[in-house]
Amino acid sequence: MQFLRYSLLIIPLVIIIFFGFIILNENNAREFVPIEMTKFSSTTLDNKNIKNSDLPDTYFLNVWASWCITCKIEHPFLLNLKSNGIDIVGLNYKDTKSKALGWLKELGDPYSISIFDYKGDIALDMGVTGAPETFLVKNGKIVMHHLGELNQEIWEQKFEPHL
Amino acid sequence: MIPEFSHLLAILSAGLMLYSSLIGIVNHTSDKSHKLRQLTHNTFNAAAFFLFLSFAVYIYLAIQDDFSVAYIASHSNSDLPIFYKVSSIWSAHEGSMFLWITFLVGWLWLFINHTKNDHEFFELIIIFSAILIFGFLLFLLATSSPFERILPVTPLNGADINPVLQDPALAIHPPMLYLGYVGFAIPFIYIISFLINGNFAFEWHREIKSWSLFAWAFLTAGIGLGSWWAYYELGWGGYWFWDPVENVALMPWLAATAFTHSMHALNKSKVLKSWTLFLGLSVFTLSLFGAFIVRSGVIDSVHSFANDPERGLFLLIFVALITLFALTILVIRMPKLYNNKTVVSGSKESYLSLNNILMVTSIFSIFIGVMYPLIYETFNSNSVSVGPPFYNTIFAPLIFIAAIIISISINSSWQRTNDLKKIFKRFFVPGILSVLSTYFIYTSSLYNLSLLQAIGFFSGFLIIFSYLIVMFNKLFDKVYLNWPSTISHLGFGLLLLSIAANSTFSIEKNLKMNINDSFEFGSSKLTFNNIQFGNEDNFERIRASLLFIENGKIFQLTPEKRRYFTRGQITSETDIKSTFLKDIYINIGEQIEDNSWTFRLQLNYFIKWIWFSIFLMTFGILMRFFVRAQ
Repeated sequence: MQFLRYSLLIIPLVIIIFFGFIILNENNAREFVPIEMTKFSSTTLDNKNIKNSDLPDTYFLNVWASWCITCKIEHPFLLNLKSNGIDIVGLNYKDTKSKALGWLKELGDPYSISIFDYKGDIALDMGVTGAPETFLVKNGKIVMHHLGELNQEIWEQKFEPHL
Repeated sequence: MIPEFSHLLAILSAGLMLYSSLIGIVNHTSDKSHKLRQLTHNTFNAAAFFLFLSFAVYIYLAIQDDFSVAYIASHSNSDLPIFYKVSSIWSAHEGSMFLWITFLVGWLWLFINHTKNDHEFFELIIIFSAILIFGFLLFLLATSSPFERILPVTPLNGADINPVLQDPALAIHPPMLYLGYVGFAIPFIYIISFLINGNFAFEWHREIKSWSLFAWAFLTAGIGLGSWWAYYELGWGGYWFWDPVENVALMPWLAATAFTHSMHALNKSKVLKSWTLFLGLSVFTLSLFGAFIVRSGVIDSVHSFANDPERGLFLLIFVALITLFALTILVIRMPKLYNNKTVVSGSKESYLSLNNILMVTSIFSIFIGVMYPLIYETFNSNSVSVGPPFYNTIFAPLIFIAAIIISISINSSWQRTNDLKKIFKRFFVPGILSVLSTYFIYTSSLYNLSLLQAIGFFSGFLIIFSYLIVMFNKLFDKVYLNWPSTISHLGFGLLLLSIAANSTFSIEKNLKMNINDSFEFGSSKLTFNNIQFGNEDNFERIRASLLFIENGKIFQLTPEKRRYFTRGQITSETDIKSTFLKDIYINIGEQIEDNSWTFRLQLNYFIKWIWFSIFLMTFGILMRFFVRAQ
């Protein structure tokens, strides 16, 4: 009887510790496995042809669109990165050229190159689920992939260790 | 300006909740002055009022399309009708948490102002309510603020509510469920206060019985609506998928069912004292567990919100503290709750206890089903999933036993044992009728009846026949009939029957058809007539047109596929035509290379009966408030 009474406390305690363990391990457990960067051949927003070999060895690729609200939120942070000399390639996703160019003109252009992915094919091959998403590509391999807004905290946590 | 006003009110409310609980604690541990108690109460009321106002202002912001608020900008759109602008508030984590807390405050505020304030542990109730609300408000404000703004560049248009959420059932389903979940905070807080207060002669259950039944009705309706939404809007083609989030909603429901039944036994026969207290605590604890699972991101599911370890950790710690605090008090007080009245075997309360055990067993089984993949993934690199076969196999025998016990208990009486002969005689007629009916379905249908399906049919028939016989007797005898209970249990019997019939008779076909192709099976024929492309304001569509002919009756079916412009999301609009017994359900798939299209045709039998039986169950519970119990 005594044991039964205390098991009322012990069982939840074990469950709680288990969940604590899962949550605290979340970041370590899901380490990113590098995958091959998608081969593509497309055009830029200013109508030049572009393919993999035109891109530098190491670059960040940011998926964005003018209809995406979170992109607007992370935009100042990208501009900040650019002013610190970091090379960001933009992948304009399921957007129209005029709207995309208007956005860059109005808010500033953090991208060294802007790839235009009207149908979202390149993004689909890269495993993009929506905008914004950010990739780090090193020597033809994707070494990091972040879904959602990019900010200082995530930058330090996920991307800085790879630089 | 106005968003800050709403934000400020929420912060103010959190501060006042903390203040109210602190004065309450100080006063309760020292001189217990009446004035300070009044202050505690008034502060709580003020805090509640500020939170309601804050939520009302937030609704106003959503209606006014204030896209400087980041949450509204990313979940609403200026083109939406007002109804969806409001429901977009609970279409994601932050806003739905805000709604959840507002409901929590609403229930507790109603309860506190409804009980007499000369109540023995009135002050304790306010203290614990205020602490609970303060904790959740802190969670909202610190980790999931819906008030954050996009400044100085305000977007002109919102990003739009997720199209699958643009549905009336979805707009109502979360609020219903939340009203159920948080409604059980009342028994939870009441029981904690009762245990701390220490006057165990006090009949605690009387005051919270109606509140619990009310919350239980909301929970039942909320789960039913969620299931209905998944069927009509998500195009899942079924009513229940044993998805982790469905499971964490079913656990509190089962606990609530056990709790309300056990409270009834306590009321009638003064037995099951500590057991009922334990159940009362566990309903809300399981609701919190569900909130944790959904909002921490430990499980992937259609319902789960974005993964955020910080939120998860905060919720885990807070939920852990609440749960352990409640259970510790129960464990400490338990020896004093010793009851010299024991359950008489063969009495109504003994059958109730048996079914209580079965319900707790099923909660535990679901819990294992939810936890097992998590445990497995933690220790192995690959993952497993626990699916319907596990749950069906476990539930069938439990329901079989439960149905027999329900049938026997109808004719039993409180505190007295009935002799076996009489029980057997009463059980004999519905028992034989159910066996015959099940056998009739087995022989007359062209379908192979599995053991599980046979059990479903038998259990459903048994419950329905038992209650119908009681109702029949009522016509000739002036016997007492508990109408609310009868209706709810008939609903439950019908639910079992509909589920069994649905799984037995339903047909699913995956078809590949070109225009003008036909497909025949049995006495039915499906013809693919044409396909059209078109544009609407906010989406482009592909609409197929098909004819389903059955025994001379013609049904025109037009399933659609839509691509929404703002999000690029593709949804499938199922077309459903209903007859009395079944739904003809058709979904359009992909176009394949030879220009033909894929379709999924389902004939879902008795699926509408499932919603109807859930409605009956809810109706029965609510009937308690209008029919005087004897």
